[in-house]
Amino acid sequence: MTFRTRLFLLVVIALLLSVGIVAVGVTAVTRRAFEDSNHARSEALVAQFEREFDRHKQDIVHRVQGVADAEATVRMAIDLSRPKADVSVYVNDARGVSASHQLDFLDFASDDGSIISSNESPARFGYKIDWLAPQGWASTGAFLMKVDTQSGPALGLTSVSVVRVGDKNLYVLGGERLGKDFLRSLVLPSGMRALLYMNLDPDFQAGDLVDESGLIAYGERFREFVEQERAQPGERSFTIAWTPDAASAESFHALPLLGRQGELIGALLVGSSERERVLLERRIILLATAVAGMGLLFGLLLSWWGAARVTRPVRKLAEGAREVSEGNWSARVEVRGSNEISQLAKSFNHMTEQLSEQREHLVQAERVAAWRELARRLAHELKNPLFPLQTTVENLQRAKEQSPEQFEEVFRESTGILLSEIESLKKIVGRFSDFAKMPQPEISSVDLNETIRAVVKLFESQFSAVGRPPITSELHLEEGLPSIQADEALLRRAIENLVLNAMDAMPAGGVLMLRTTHQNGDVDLEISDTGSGLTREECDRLFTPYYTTKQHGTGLGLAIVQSVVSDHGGRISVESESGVGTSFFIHLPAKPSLAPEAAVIQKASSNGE
Amino acid sequence: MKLRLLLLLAATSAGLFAAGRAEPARRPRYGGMLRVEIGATVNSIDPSVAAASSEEAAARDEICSAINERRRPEGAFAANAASGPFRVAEWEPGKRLMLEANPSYREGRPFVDSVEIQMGKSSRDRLLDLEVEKTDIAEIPAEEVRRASEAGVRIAVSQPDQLIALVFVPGRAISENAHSREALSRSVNRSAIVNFILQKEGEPAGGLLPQWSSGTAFLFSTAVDAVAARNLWAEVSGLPKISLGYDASDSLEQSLAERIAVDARAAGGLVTAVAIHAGADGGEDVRIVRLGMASPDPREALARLVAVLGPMAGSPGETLPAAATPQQVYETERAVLNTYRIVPLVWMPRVYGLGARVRDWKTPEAGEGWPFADVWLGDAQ
Amino acid sequence: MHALAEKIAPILGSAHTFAIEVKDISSSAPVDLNGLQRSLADQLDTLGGRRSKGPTADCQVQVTLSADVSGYVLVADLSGTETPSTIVIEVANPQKTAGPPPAAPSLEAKVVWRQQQRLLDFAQADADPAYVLWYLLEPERIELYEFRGGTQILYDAKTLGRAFVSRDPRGRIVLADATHVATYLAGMQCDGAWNPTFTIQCVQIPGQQWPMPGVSWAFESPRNYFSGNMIFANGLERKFPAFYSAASPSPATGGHSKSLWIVAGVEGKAELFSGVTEPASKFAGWGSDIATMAPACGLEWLVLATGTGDWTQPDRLQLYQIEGDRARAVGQPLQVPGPVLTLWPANDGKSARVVTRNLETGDYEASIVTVACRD
Repeated sequence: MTFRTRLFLLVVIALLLSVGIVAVGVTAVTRRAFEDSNHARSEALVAQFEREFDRHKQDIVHRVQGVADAEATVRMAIDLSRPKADVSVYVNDARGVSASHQLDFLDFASDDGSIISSNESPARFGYKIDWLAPQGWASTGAFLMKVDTQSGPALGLTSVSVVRVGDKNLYVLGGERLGKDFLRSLVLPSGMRALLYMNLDPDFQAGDLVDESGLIAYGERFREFVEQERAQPGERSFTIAWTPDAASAESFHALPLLGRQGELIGALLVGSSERERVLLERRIILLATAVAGMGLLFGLLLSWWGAARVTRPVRKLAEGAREVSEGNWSARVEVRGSNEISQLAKSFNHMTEQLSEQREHLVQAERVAAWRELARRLAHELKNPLFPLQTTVENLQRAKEQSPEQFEEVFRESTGILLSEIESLKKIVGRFSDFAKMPQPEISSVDLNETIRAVVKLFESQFSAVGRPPITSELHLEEGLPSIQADEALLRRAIENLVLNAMDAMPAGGVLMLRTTHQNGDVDLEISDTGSGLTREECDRLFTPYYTTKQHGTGLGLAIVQSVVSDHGGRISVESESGVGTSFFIHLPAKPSLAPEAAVIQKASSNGE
Repeated sequence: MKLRLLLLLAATSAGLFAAGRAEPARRPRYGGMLRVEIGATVNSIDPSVAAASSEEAAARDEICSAINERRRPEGAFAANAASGPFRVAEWEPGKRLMLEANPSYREGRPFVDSVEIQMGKSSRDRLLDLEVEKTDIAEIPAEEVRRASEAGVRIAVSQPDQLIALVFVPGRAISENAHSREALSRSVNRSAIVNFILQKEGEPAGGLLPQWSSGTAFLFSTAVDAVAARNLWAEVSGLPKISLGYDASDSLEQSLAERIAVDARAAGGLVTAVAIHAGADGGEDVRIVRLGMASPDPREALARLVAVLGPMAGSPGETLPAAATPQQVYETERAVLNTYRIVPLVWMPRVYGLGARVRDWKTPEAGEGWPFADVWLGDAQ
Repeated sequence: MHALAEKIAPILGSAHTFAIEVKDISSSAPVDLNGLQRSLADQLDTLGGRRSKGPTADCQVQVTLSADVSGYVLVADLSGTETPSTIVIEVANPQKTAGPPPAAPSLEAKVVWRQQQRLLDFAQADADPAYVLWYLLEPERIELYEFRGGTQILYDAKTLGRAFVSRDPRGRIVLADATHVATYLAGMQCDGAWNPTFTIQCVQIPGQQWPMPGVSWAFESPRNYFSGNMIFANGLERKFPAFYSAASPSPATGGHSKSLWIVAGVEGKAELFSGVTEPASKFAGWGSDIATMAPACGLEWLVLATGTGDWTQPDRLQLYQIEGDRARAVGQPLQVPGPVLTLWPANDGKSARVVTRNLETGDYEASIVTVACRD
């Protein structure tokens, strides 16, 4: 991921986070504020309802007592207190009295609770009101109850007054219907409404739910919540979303209305529209989104510009570094300004200068070292055959001088030695010449497993040669190893060199393991031995031409291996542990690419010729 | 002895004096217009034209008897036939009928010159008119008798000869279920209806004939059988509720229907009272019917009741021999009621409010019409 | 009865025993129900029935005498037979099938108490066969006298108080049973009981209802007469003109007709009302106190009435028979030595309580008047 992208992401994330946090916070605070406001308004409405309710109750009590205190009622009570009083005279009285006292319900009942007259249910005369037992009705006040009317059950706010004559009571039950008219008496703030649920039927009926204008639509939507209230009466809150749009939601606060014995008679539902809150939240979110969008754009521009300002010099630095890594040690980075990046660029330039100089020195030193090494090797290699040459010539001279009779024999023997040594010289020169002119790979499709098997077969006889501890070869060649584009001869030579090295490293025998694997078409070759291992320094210098740890040899074997690997665009590495063994890892691509080291090696070879 | 005689004489004189202060015996006075108000609306006084309701039919019969003959209310007649005590002078269908005395009536000219009958007046208006003497005679609903008496109105009450009954409409699923019919019959509290709704003017009806006529009405139970009713309602609990129809313009029928519904509900039944407007088929399963006795004679009365109610209930009318014995009358009555297609509720009297001027009023017997010919107008006291 | 027996017999057969119960629900004068029962049983025996000797029987025959429009019907309801049966037959006036022709009635009076103080009413409570307890009601007191073995002992006396002062106080004693007594005075009602001593509690109630057999009359306390409002045992109400006293056909027949009444009006007229608010007839020569007596001597509706004099003259009691709208004096009048101040019938109508003021001695005399039948 580029720095620009990262910077852009950082800015964007920071912006989004802050905007998001602010938006969420504001939304939460707003919602809370609305909820608190709604709660307060609901409480206020509930308090108003309760006040109004109490006032109604007192009014009912007063009016019913007025009926009880009326002279006609007292006379009725006196008349009915007599033995064998004729109750039927009064069967129609309730209608007129209820109208004059503006009561929706009015029943007169005798001492045993039998209905004498009823305005709402005039046909129920004679039937008993079971719950009308003698008790302290004066202290009971008005209460809610379900009233049977001609048009069906209704909710009534009822009071009972008693007229007592002698030991007989006359009960006056009066009340008002509680319904939409009562709801109209409530003053409701804007956005709020009050519903009344009348618990009149065994099951929830949408028709039992009214507002100030009567039956409401969608009453069925309240079923679930009303059922909860019926199951467990108590104050509760719930929300109904009228449409999929959240702004249509309405939250309700339910206040149970209990009867005389604590049974649920009805419930007041105070509704508060969520519309304002939702719209406000939406506005907040919209604003936040707009801000975030602008922030994104700003962030994009800022990051683009900032990144450009920051990354351009960095990129130049990176370019310079890449050039350096590609070998262009003269790469320089433009320096502008005096900030940290400029300082870095200066340092880079200085570093590359130093590196160039160092490399020059190093190259020269390496060259000198390589020449010295070459010279040493040459001297060492040449010295061997040269000494016998010199000795032989001296022997010839001596023989000519001292023993001319043996001169012919000494001459033949000496010429033989001279020719042999000159042949050795010619071999030595030939190896150097070979290394100097390593051939370019001739690419073809090569099955590396087959090459390995061929090499191993070649050396099999040597693995178990007489007179030397045996070497066990282990082949772990991956089946289906893909063919690579390579020079089969060069590869074979490289592998042979490695096998030879491994054999040389295991004078006491051991195990030679060869493994092939592949990944994504590239092939990996591991050649391991259980020899004495190499030190760290030896590993570092292993692939240096003419470097060898052996007593004999040109030290070119591994250099040739490295050269071949490089020519195929691969890489070689070594791991070793003293006393355990050494492993060479060769990575060969499916298709070779030009290896920069090959050029260097070639140059060094051409310089050495 | 003399003293005793003197004392006796004095006592007798005192008695005579007391008697002298009483109104002397008087002879009827001729003349005047008798003003009558009724509640029904009679649209035609031609008996061949079907009446819209049983109430109109009954009212027409009573009026026609005054025009035609006293005891033959169904007889055909011409509007101006001279056979009856009165002739039609003016006729405003549904509103007002003016009769004038027939001078050549064979039993003697009626005492009053004319009779004006105002129709379709509410019971409240009729009572008020009596109190302010705007009318001489007015029909008063039986349940208003107490109120009328308290208002000081003179009241004349007949024997209870008006039957109110439930008749199950044939062909309805509910009506064809015998248990539901019987359940409804056993649920009704007739005593409460008489005591409260009729204000004790009337008697519970268990049979199709009142006790004073047949003497056997006591054999038909009028008591509520709550246990049997509850069991029967439980048997028919799967059936839909019974709709009980009543005349929408009749407050008494409405009160009865509502009370019957309440009684049925208390016994576990489901009955709703449904108001039926004139001429409309409300789809009711059972309806309230009012029918007057055609005659005080139980045979004649039963024959007519069965002839009218039988077809309404969809059951063939039981036939009664012409000279049926009381046993036969009873058995016929029992046979009709055993099916519970007809359920008698109450017997009500006809009640007449009499103005201060009305003299020699004799409350007509069952089946008799208005006795206009015998009534005369005195001074208002 | 023979016709009824002929119809019942085939249903009963001879295999089952029967028992007969007879009741009368007609509004006729009392009928000899025992006689009817015996007659029917005898005829069923004759026709092969088996009368039950014990309290239980296989079949029950419930016979009811009822009235229809034209006369009477006998209804026999048979239960316990194979199929329940009901038999209805017309009968003539059952009274006409009763025994020998009636004898002429005459009034007899027996003075049971005298005292100087004003006496309003008196009543005898037979608490114990060994002694008799008399309640004596005065305008402000009630006294209890025990009569034992020919001597009278003042057992107890209670002061009642007075709600109204009247020149013509009226009062009435109603005995619920031997140990419960109620007194009605103008504007005051007292209830007394033995528990075990005699206590009495009085309340002042304007507009009382004075109970009579089967009916109660509303008393106008300040005016000392009855307002005319009557409330019957079945709860029905009727309104008559104000009266001092009233009489209707015998309560022994099971209750009052709500329509048939003779009222002794406050204007000095005795009027008969039958179903309408206009009197059917007026009776001359009747005083302010009238009372129905139980049918006797074959006569149905008998009314005892005082004369029309004032209190300075001796009074008389005359028995009348009411037939339709006419009153016919029967028997000789009973002369009394002073004005009749109180006339209350006994609950069974077989006697009347009379309080008179003896103009010669000044005593208030309490008498029991009965109707005797003499050939």
